[in-house]
Amino acid sequence: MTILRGDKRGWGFIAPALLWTLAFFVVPFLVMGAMSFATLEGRTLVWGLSLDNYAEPGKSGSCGGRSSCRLRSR
Amino acid sequence: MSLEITLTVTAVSVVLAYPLAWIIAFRVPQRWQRLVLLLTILPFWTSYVVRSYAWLLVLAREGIVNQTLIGMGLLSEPVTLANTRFATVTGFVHFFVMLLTVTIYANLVQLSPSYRRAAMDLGASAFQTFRHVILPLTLPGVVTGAFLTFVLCIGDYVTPQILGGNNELTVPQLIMVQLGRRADFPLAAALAIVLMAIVTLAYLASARWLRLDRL
Repeated sequence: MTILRGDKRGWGFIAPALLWTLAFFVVPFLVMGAMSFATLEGRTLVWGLSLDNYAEPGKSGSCGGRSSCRLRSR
Repeated sequence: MSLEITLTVTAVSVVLAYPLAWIIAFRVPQRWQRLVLLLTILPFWTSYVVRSYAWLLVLAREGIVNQTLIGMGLLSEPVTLANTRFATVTGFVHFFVMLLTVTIYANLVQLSPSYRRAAMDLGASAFQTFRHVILPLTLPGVVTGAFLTFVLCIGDYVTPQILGGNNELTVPQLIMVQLGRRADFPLAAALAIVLMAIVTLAYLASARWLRLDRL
């Protein structure tokens, strides 16, 4: 009983930090991860599982120059 | 590009910060150490936008560096230093040497002087004492500072934007281009995920190497 109460108190202490991390790190990160597999058709976002965005920086050599990943047109 | 700049900045910063921290910890009299440390971290008190613009003025074609080199007869005409990778690295190193100096200094002052005395008593030279006693004991501080430098440097947008110009884009600059000009959120998200993956790998490498589970 004491252990359970201690556990609950422990969870109570870390709950604000967990909620904060969940709301401002985990959820945005998951959304960002999902969006990285999406594509743009014109100005419309199409959700999917495309790896084009990950292949894009590798095209035309370095992504640091005036390469396709900077200047690509849709 | 980002990775090259980040690794260069981290390596140069460690090489410059370690001797500086060493001098402050062991060569500066104790009553002056606080003041010297304060002077070392003084640039922290200004915004890094201001610091970057200050470096831009220093490295400009009419800046103090070019004027000094021309005045000394080493150059006949000004060279382009601003808006180059060199300028970006210089701006970063200036900032991160301060950070690393503090972390390494904190490690050095915690070392008991008896370690050095024991090594010397056993016949070790000053270099051997440093190589086999001091350096291994201060490596946790060095690696922690280097990891912080790596993370802050690879994700920084302002310094490369001001000092590097748009000749070579780092990953944060590319992300900003996708978000600001092209509204290409999927590509920006993919670049951000790649950036996070690199930082995670750097963390795993440093954590594994430091064996944080033993601390």
